[in-house]
Amino acid sequence: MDDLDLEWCLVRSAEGDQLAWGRLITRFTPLLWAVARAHRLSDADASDAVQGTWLRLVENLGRIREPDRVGAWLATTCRRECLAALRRGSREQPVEQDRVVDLTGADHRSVDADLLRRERDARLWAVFEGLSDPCRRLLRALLADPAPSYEEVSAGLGMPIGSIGPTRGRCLRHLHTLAVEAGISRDDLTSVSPTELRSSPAAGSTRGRTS
Amino acid sequence: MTGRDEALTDPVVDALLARLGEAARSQDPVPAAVLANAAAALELRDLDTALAALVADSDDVDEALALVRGPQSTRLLTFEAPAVVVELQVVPAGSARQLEGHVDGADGWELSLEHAGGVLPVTPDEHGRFRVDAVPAGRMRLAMRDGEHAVTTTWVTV
Repeated sequence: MDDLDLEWCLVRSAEGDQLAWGRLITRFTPLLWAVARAHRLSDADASDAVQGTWLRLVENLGRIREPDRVGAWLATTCRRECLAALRRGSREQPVEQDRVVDLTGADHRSVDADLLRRERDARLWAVFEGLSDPCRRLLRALLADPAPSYEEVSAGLGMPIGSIGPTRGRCLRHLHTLAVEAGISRDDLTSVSPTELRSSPAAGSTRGRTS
Repeated sequence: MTGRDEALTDPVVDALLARLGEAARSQDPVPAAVLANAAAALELRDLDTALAALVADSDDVDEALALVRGPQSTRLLTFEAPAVVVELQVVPAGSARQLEGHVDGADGWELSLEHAGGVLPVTPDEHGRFRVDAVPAGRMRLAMRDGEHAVTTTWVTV
């Protein structure tokens, strides 16, 4: 999956090493966010579930028996936090699912290209949001970047590992059909924009998928 | 529903997932504050403090019931450390919570209630019973210490 030495990170984090802790955060927060969104939590509740998961790891640093599987441990813990949040219901007024679209962050070099790209993403995302719940749920978890293992996805969703592969294929094929029906071109559905890969902070840096 | 879906090759399906991942990065990115809060969580670690684990939660037992009655009813929590037992009763009061509790095994210790916005003093009577009004809803834990020992409950969201 990647070459992050999880045991080293956990040992050093238990000693208070903020750098080692930061590597765990960078590696696994996208997975936890994806698990929370797969459970359809609002921004506030998803943030809370992710933070609750990290606090749980802080409490249990030094007690993780299988460091290599800390991702699955975190995903399981996050799933519990999500279920508790759903049980509690929204504590305050229902929070609308406000997407933080940070247009100010896009620099001035190619605002038009960025806008077009966002529009293209938004159209596909709208089709994705219209998928059946089981499909949306599984795919949202799989979209974590860096890509999660099936064990982590299984732990985060409470879903048997064996059904992930077949469901993934079926749901993506269905998404393709819906997207074409919605007028998105076939080329648009399979071409990842090369400029996006370079300009997106989430895609670059140290957490590549060195599989 | 899948009957009319096209037979796509695996590379096409994989490419679609990659394309969807691109959309996820722009449409539903991890908020920066989530990463910053996670990074700060390590500072809440107390090396010399024992953890009182949550061993019973009425919300877990009555899951179906909790869905029916909603968030407005009493919740019972039990925490255990090797020599300390804490029982908490949580009653919602608007956006705040009223706590009634009992601590066993920590006679004469100093107690405080830590929550997201600060720390509240807790004063138990001679039987270890205490009550705290107006705890902000959210994450909290009970910290207990004397000269030699320190125990905190695990974080719970109430």
